[in-house]
Amino acid sequence: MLSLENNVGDIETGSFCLTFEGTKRTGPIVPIITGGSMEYKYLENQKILIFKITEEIDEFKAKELRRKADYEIERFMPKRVIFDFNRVSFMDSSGIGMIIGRYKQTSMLGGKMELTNLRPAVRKIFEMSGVLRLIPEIDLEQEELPELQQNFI
Amino acid sequence: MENEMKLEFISKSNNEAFARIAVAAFVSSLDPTIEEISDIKTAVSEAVTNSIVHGYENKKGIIHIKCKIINRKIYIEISDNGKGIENVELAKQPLYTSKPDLERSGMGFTIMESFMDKLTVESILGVGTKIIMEKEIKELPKSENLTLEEALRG
Repeated sequence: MLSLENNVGDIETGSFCLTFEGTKRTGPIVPIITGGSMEYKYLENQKILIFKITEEIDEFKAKELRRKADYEIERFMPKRVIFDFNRVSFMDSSGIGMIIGRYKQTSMLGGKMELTNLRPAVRKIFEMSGVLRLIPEIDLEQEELPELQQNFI
Repeated sequence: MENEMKLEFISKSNNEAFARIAVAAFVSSLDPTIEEISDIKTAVSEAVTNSIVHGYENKKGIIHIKCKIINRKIYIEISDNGKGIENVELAKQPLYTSKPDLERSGMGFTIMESFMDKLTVESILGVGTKIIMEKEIKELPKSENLTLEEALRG
């Protein structure tokens, strides 16, 4: 597995560019920003913005996630926004409000939204609220996104 | 088996995690499944969020939690001295929210109702709200219990 640190030597001026061993560079990507309750990655060629939430989602955390996600969505105006829940072991209904709010914002800017890696407890809440009829769950590994072979930190 | 505990904390939203984890730890003596624990944590989180956001409207107040275990049943009482709910039946409707501007989903009571076996709401305007929830923790035959490996994966 490659880590970001191994590759930072390849940063070009202007936009952040990284080359990953074993993968052909398909275009500049914005590297993973760590810290706080969410990391994100932007694939510029495909205009895909991926958020990886790294903490439990409740009323307290939802506020922070909302603010961070809105900022990045407005900045990149992505065609697709994917929320990765792989590390979310707990979510209450504050998460539903947060996701529907980002869905509205993404749609307004002409993009579509998807969810991935839902754990059983989180899927139960999304299913109950009908969110999955509006925002589909996808299998990120089925997507042909070579840049994603670079894992989040 | 019989056991009892009481918690009091101020209505700050960063206490939500503390409240649900404390209740989950208390229930753990009944050896619940991962799903049962997660249901209880979610229901507690919803009730505490309601007290903070609606009861106290983000002003400072005290939230009380009382938990009781009788045999294999857990009783959780969550109460506040906030503004109270005008129409409990309306508040319990799925998707109903009194604060739509704040991106609230209106699913709080629906989640409490469906994740727990029983939900009772008592509320008096200007006095406060008390929510009592109960859930039976099923006794699983040993072979059906999750193995440690499955539990860690789940």
